[in-house]
Amino acid sequence: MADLLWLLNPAVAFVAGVVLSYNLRKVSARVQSRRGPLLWLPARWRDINGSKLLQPLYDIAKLLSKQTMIPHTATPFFALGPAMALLFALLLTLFVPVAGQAVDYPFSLVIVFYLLVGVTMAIIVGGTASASLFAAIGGVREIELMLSNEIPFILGSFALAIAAGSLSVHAMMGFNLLYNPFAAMAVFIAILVKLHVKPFDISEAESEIVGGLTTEYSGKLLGLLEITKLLMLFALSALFVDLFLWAPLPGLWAGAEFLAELLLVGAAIGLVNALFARFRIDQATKWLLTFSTLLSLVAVAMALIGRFVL
Amino acid sequence: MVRQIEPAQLRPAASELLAGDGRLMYATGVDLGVRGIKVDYYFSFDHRDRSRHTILRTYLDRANPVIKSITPLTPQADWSEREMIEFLGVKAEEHPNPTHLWLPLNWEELYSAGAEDKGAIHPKPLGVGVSDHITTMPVSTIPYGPYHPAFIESNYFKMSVVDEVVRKADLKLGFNHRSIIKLMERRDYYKGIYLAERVCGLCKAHHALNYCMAVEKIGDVQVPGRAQVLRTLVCEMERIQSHLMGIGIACDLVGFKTMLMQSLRVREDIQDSLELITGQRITNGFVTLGGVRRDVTEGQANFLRRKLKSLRAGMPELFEQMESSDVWVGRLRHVGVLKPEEAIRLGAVGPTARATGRRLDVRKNSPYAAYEAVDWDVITEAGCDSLARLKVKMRESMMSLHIAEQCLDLLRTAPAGIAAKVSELPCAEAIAKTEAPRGELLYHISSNGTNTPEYVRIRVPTFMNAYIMLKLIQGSYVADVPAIMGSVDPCYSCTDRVTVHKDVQIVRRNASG
Repeated sequence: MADLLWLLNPAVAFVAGVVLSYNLRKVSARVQSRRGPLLWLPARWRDINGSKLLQPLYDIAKLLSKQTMIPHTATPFFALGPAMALLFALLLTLFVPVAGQAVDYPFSLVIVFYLLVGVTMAIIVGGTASASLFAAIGGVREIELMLSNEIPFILGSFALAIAAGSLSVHAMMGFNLLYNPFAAMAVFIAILVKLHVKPFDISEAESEIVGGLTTEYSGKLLGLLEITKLLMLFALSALFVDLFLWAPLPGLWAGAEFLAELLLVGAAIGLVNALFARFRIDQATKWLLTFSTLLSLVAVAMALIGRFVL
Repeated sequence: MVRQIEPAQLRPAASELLAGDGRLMYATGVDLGVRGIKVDYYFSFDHRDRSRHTILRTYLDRANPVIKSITPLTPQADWSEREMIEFLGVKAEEHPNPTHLWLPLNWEELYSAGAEDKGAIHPKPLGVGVSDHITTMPVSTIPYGPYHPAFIESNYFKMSVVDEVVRKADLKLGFNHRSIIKLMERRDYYKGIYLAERVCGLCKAHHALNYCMAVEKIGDVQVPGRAQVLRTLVCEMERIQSHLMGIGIACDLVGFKTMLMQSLRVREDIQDSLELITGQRITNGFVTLGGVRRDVTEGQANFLRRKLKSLRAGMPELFEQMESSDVWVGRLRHVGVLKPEEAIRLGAVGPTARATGRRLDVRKNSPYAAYEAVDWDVITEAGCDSLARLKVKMRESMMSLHIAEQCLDLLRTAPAGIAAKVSELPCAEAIAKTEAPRGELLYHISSNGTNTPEYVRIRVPTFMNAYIMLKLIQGSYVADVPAIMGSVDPCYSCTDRVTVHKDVQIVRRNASG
């Protein structure tokens, strides 16, 4: 029975994604001297207001109940894109261990890479299929970001694979933040880019290109994209927890540890989101290709030295 | 000083004034009926000699209002002359780009033949034979607007883009057009203050003050000293709140939402103070003809001192946080560089001009209110880029704080009496200028002896700066467009203040319906 717990991963991912989204907005709001969404509020306020914990859920429910407008210039990929992205994201959650529970193969890290790229590619294909100018610019920016971001991400996580001698996510799990802090930094930055967190939200820069790739989406298709976003937020935060902050504990303690660390990573992401302005695309690619790549190379070197020299 | 010339003399006279380092502030016309169309070109020399202005005035035949455009001499006349072409039907010959700026692009088609005099518009489908304009050109263009997240107000802004570099940009205004000037002509002088205050949401006290100053000049009203100090106080507090808002929005446009929120938090102190002394947070209704409406007591002054003290700590901290963000500085440095000679050629005003090192500030050049009585200096920066423009605003708000504190001290000794009596206004005209947060603001009011002004003309600072913004955007990256826009801080609602000169039929409903 316990072997099949990974089947619950998508559901856990969705619920935890909602909580993480709340966490992110709350942290951003506190940094911005705002109150932010309320978790609990006094009884005398409840007739006009409620807890905002489930706000992402309300948003998605609203979007799913609305009419979907499809521009006449759009190709069939416009509708296919969000569905594919959601599918990839759901598959991804199966491979990211939740408190140690996940599908595992000896090469599951590679599958995780491909599924992550798959989500991004599906969104790019769907967005550019709308024939919107803003989506086109957003798509170009997204691809540029992805190209410059994959190198540090893959190198950073391969450093752990080298240290563990295996490409299985399970075999790599551990408190690797201590053993290879450079890999942790490189992977954390890469996660920021993949989640479009503040200095890297270039492909959906509101004041420049409106909604970027998602400009033309509405209704149910936008709802699917929102679900994908929540799943991605969870999957990437959980991946970081698994790879760098995981300490094996028995039974329910593992779940508690996982949740606490997840919220910690979420808070860190929220903090970064609030503390930065947006990079221009050339600045971002340059920065990723120099600083971030250098970090990941150092991480690989450390792993090689740790495994073969010491 | 008004110099009357023949229409044919306009170009030589204008080039002579421009050669004497004159700035063309504005050009506008008034339809005087049988006397023809009066066209005024306002030149300012106050950056050389204190308060020196020259108006070139010429009368055109109403049947055939032809004028030689002076836009080939100076681009400062470009939008002014397009405005005259659109609203007065003046034919500005040799104008390089006589397309519609405010009116719809298919304005000519909207009128069916013979309907012009009746003012009836018969709409036809858009897009048939629209004149040559970037919005109709077959290039890969990016539309900004009429509604776009980067704009607070609606306007239509289109750029043709190659490889994320903007090749050509054009602006279409007129979405917020409210004919405020025409409304002023139909209301008495006191009601004009309220209209002036509603031209802009951020420079409202300056608009009201400027209107009052022009009317006071017509009536030769001596404003009491205490009122002058109070006017200075409110205007400087307004400058602080406007600059904080402008800086915050410039931050938000490059993605720094946190700094927008923080600057709004710091700005609350000013809003609270304004609410205490004027009763309102936004449209203050503080300035009136002959003085101000309310006095500031010593108790209120103490409250203000406390608030200003907390700002003196809060604002430098905020600005330091911004400047220590490398990403933010990297987005603004060397972006939208306006060279000093270009600033002079294009007629930049306000912080945009001062960021190129030009000492252009109406408060020093043509002093008004109590700016002579306080100790302050014009803020300039030499950077010429977007960062320099924002730095000018930062340092200027600190200077405004300094002025406001001195005003509070002056209030202690200023004798009582906050408003002079305004009696009959003679047949006369006057121009008045103030330094609004975004730059030089100009009002021209003419009185015909009745209780309503004959005409009112307003030149807002964005009129010059938005034109420069377009020039800056050409050749920059698409991603830099919001950064440039945020640093210039245009106010399109201000720019859309102008009037329709065709006689508008007022439909009067009688009691029976």
